[in-house]
Amino acid sequence: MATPHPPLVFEEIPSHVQLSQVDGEACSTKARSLLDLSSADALVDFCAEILLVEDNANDEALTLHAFKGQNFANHVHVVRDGAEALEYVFCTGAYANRRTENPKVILMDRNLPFVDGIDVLRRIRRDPRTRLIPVVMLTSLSEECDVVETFALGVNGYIVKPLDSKQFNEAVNRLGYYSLLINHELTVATESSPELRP
Amino acid sequence: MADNGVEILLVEDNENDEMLALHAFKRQNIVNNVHVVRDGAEALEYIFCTGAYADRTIENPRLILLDLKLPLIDGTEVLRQIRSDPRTRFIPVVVLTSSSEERDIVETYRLGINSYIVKPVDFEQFNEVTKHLGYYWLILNRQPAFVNGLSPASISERVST
Repeated sequence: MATPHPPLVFEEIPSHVQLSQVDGEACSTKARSLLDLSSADALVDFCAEILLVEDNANDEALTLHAFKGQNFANHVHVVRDGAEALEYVFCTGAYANRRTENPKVILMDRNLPFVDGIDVLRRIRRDPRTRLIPVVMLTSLSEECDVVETFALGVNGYIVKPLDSKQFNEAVNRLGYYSLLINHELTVATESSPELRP
Repeated sequence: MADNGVEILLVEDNENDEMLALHAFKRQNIVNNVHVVRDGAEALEYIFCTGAYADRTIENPRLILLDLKLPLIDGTEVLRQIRSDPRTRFIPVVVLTSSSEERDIVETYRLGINSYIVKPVDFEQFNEVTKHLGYYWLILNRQPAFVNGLSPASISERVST
């Protein structure tokens, strides 16, 4: 199948947008300047972040390593199968007492134990409390039928994990940066507004 | 990617913002072919190959960057039509707007946008955001291949089978 991608151009993220060497305060300053966040509350909001749904320990380590390079690692919660993902998202089972905000973005593998990624996505999109949370598939599958199905279910992005570890790192860096600093998501989907929270 | 393929359809009525975006894309070397339309009606004509674009033969854009406040037909309505037509519903749509109003964010996410970006006021930040945007959508993201691999007419056949 024709993959309509241009040649990969992995230019470096310029140093002034790297969050790796800066401390938390500088990091938040950058976030504020990019997103026009202006209060301490916004900073707390900035720390709620990413739900990573990944059953492969190696990919999980690679992903967390990449986030660490950007100081995003502290804001990632990892669940290892589809059932746990649903418990986390809907505050049931082991997560019945979750008090943290909903994630700003859900990065999810396609093939997962117990409940697969497609099914998790379907349930997230069906529930008014969670349907507006951005979901990005981060998967090693690039089958056309899979891409079509996830788009039909309302996925926000579909990213195929690069095999090369440097490219994997770069892709996750970019993905984190885009999802947390460039994209605006709903505050009602992430804040603890009682009628919208699970 | 086909040489004649439009990578991004930019729907933007503000000349200054259009210039900034084109300049930023040019600088980063990722996005080479942007088609600009200046109101919602022209956007729909381009996307659905009607009116002035009835003879468009080049592929669908890989990404639509949509402002919300547009002359003639507003961005929300353009989005609604894109998402309700099987030929175009899978084209990634990113809202690029100066509005950070909650109701705009809620409504457009409900209608199925892929991403919502508030235009930074600062020139350098605008550059930065545009660069990440091009990289994310044209290099990282995968989309159903038939969305831009076929002409709008054959897309319609493919989807209906």
